[in-house]
Amino acid sequence: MSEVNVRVHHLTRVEGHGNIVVDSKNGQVVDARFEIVESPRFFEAMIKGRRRNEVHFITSRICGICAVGHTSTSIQATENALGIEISQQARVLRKIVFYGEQLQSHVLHAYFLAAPDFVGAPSVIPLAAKAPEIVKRALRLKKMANRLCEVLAGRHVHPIAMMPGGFTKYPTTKELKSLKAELLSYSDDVDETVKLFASLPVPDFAHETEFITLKNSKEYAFYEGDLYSSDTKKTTRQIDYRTLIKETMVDYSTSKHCHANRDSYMVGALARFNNNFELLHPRARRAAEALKLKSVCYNTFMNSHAQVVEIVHCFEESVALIDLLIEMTVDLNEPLAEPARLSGRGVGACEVPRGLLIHDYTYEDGLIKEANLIIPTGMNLANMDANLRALAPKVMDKPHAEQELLMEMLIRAYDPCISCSCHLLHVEWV
Amino acid sequence: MTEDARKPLAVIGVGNVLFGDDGFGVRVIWELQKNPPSGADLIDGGSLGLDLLDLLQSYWRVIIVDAADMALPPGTVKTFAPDDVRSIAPDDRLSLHSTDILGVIELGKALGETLADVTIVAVQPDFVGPKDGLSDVVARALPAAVEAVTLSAGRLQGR
Repeated sequence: MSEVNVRVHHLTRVEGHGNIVVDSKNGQVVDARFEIVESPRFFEAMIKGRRRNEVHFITSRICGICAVGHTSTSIQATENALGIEISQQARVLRKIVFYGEQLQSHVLHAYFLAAPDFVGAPSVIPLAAKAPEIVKRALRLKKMANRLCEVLAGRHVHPIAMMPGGFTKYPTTKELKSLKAELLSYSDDVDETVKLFASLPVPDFAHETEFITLKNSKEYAFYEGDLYSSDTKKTTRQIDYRTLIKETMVDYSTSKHCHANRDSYMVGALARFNNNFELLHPRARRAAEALKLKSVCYNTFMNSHAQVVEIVHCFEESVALIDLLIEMTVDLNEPLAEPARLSGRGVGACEVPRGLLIHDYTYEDGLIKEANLIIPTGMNLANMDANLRALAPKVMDKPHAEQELLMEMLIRAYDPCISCSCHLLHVEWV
Repeated sequence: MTEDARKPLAVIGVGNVLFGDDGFGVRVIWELQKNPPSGADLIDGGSLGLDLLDLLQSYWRVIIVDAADMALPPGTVKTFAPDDVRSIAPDDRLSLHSTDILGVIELGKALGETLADVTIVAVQPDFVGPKDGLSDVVARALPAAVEAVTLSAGRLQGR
């Protein structure tokens, strides 16, 4: 009888450490899980007692690739807790910086982490030797995205200019026009990215699941919106997230699991695509057609393709918002908005590259008293287990090496960010 | 970047300041900012990942300050070139979220890029884990690292 017994210790090409464990007995799946073995990070404890103007600088250092996401969500939580109302120009600028991070993160995941599997390369380094033009294109697009963040927020990794209440520095019209021209010069690279992913073979898989994302009526929600469940088709206010999302401990994982209306749910690009497809930019919708991606898609392997659709969307939206800022004529001297109070509770929720991120802060006399952070990868963990359980029966008759590869690709498709940023060099002298 | 557009020298501190001694490189930059070596750009690299490749293409020479497990007593500061070592990192991966200096250099070479001449100034860490600050023994190594960077910067600029 065919069986599946897969053990992958410290899965490669994901951020952080996790083990895949899948076992069957007499043709029945008896175990399927993705074990998180990283130690807890205790960021919530680190920001206790901190002032409102330093919290987001600390949380931005949680991660180097989602620094803008953590910064933005943190600032929103602070602003909501203390009644800080930002201006329209600040809101527009924040969105462009946010799109910049989506671009660079998605480009890197799609090209460096996911694509090697699809083309049979063990990692990006042999891919670089074999097809340097593909890797160079990825690096060009990343550089473009970094430029957005650098010009508008000081730098991408741990942005400088973003503060509760607005920005400490605004771009001039000349800088915005130059940035837009620079951005548009990469348009062909965006098209080539769609063509590349349209050419890659995708494993056949479908596992019906609940998708939870932000949603708003005006745009494909990244920066603002209510929480939306594809199961109930209802929205929940951000402040009430605990009525929708429940966190639980599991004995084989140092990270908590989340569930909403079922035992698990999915967040991320595919979830956003499924929940908000109708609000995508037309060029992004054409990209989805080219990629054969349709809403509702339950194939987790297509999450990378959903990221490519979002690359197109964020590219177009960035250009449009730069035009809007130019039209608005930015007030370069606008001061930071002040708080209405120094005590209160506020929640910030944004769609960072990997999915829904929540920061929940309670301030007392201007200092953080309590905090809770729920990271998108944490939200996906229970669904990863469910996906492995669903995939295992379908691969029982395949050779072991293929079983293992498909399970690795399945977890990688989520673009998990498990540990965030502990990177130590380990060397020996030659 | 065209050859003419390359800048002469950068000192880049990498690491996560929320992870104890992992943040050593960034804290060295913060010290250097009080009395910067002349002719060098100081860069707080934080947890930058592949962005390092961009910096290696933007400068002729780069000094990277980092924590490194070199099997030496905690607090030891060493200056070396990438060719003096090989990586024995537990996982063979190029992370997007953290700075694997040797992996980034390898990728740059695989792409046929001309990279900056790299000098690494590293400290042997004592504690790497959730902590906003250095361990005592590594904090005492800050002046030695600042001096090592300043000497290297002078030597690289022919002084």
